[in-house]
Amino acid sequence: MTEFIIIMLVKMFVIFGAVMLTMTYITLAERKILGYMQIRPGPNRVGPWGLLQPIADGIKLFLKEDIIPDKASKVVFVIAPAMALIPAVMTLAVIPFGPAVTIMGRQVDVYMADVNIGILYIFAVSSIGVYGIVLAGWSSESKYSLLGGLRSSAQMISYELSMGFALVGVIMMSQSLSMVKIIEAQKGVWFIVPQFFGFIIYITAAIAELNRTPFDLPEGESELVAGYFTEYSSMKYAMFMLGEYINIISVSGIVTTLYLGGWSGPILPPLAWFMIKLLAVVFFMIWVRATYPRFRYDQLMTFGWKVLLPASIANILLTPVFMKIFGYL
Amino acid sequence: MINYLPILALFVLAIAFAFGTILLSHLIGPKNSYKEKLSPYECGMPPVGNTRERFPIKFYIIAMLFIIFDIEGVFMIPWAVVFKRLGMFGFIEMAVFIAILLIGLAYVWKKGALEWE
Amino acid sequence: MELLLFYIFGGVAVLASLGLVTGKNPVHSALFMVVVFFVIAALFVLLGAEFLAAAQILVYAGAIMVLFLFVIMLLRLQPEELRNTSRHAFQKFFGIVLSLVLMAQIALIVRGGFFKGAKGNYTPEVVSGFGGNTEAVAAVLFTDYLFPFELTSLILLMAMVGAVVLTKKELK
Repeated sequence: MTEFIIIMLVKMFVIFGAVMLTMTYITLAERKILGYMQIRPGPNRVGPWGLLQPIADGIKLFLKEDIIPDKASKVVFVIAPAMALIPAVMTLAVIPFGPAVTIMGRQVDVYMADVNIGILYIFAVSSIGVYGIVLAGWSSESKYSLLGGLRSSAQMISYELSMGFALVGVIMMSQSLSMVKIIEAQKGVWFIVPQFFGFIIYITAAIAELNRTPFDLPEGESELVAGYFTEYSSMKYAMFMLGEYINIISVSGIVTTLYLGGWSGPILPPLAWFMIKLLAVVFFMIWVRATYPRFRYDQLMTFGWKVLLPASIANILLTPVFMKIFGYL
Repeated sequence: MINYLPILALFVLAIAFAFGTILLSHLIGPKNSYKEKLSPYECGMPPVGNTRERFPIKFYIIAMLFIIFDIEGVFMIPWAVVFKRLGMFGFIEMAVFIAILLIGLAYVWKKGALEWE
Repeated sequence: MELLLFYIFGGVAVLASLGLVTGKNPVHSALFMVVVFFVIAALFVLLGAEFLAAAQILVYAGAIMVLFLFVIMLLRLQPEELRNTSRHAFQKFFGIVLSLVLMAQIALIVRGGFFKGAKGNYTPEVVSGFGGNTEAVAAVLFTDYLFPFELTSLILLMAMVGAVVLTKKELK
């Protein structure tokens, strides 16, 4: 029992630390990639190639004044950023980074927990993410925050449905909710092939759920200043950003697990394969940001309810056909 | 239930990390606040009116529809797990369930609750 | 270990419920309710009902409470309206009496050893025979309880139509 708890805690801190580090460098990678795609160098002043930029950003945010507006509802104003971060961190618990490896004579899985309800757990936890936004918008007592918060939460709940329905297709193929069993079910062919429509729906909805371009209306600078976190400063502001970038990692991890065969791959160790696939998905999201212009709010909601939702339901009804074609039934 | 212990541990860590960082930066950061800085941001002008305006009913409908489809999703996930075992009968069963809800979606669509102008 | 966790979650549930009913600010109450849903989900996990735990968070914490928050934000109650709770004095008194009666009833049942009967059909062994909690729920729900399941979709349809009918005037 003691050994179990020690291994669990060590794993937790290693995974948490590794994700935080990856996340800080994804912020840099995003700025660099966006820069090069627009033929400009991106940050390159702090350290070689700007490699110390994320650290400088972190220190700067830490040393900024922590402003709590007069009229804000103080308790909720402080809780909201934490509520934005916590669900993001919680999803990391079930992401299977790699199968068991032997460390110091012990078999240790490179994931924190493989629960029976894996996907459902992720679906449930990510549905909590909306609170940070609603509460931030409500507690700031600022018009921009309120409008941004309301728009953003309506957007999140709309796209969450399509996301959940896209998952149903994967579950039908794997016959299990456990993340590890889903990877094992993809021994033959990755689910991106038979579940191609599901994959497109999932990744579109995920980008919308993350409030990223082209669905980043709540933060549309030109109309809403910064949306729900207009009034936030210092580390409280950073919490929203941390939450967003950790979510990018976990969504990429989920896409890798559900559609890209997880850790499986030839020659290289499984963990390396998982990271390569994960970073490829992250790159894809940054690429999308560099490519597409922002939607209008009415287009966004119409797209979510009138295109994506019916498409995701159609995907469920068509999945048996795909399963027949690919010999799963 | 030992599988869920890491999740509980991570939850504690997440809470400690979030509130710890917020508290720390609150203590470290400079404090130089005055009335104008603490007023809501409105492009540099003094704030006009108040935020206690009522909202379009649309958002309420969206939340309501979300609950309904969310519950549908909660039914579909266990169905998908045993989908192969249930066979054709199970599929028809779920198709009927989905069809009834699609009627609802069509109705809502027709009535214009999904229009945003 | 399990007992300790049970007491912790139970304690949090009681405290959060107290916060929920005594809170003056509706948003604070709503947040306490989210906490209650979470600890109840944790209790479900302790009981081995993982599917219920996830459904609880997904539907109650993730959807219904969001609607509550939307409605609170939609109505934007003025602080004066909130403070004016004196007219609820009778309700308060009645509520306290009723909850004391309920508590006494529960205490009586628990003391009387009502739960000492035979085990039900779905013991932990049977459930794990299905391959897990979710599988067990699904296997029973989509065969034995087929009719109630299909009725659920009709109820959901009614809720959908109802929401639109009630707000139709404002949509135009």
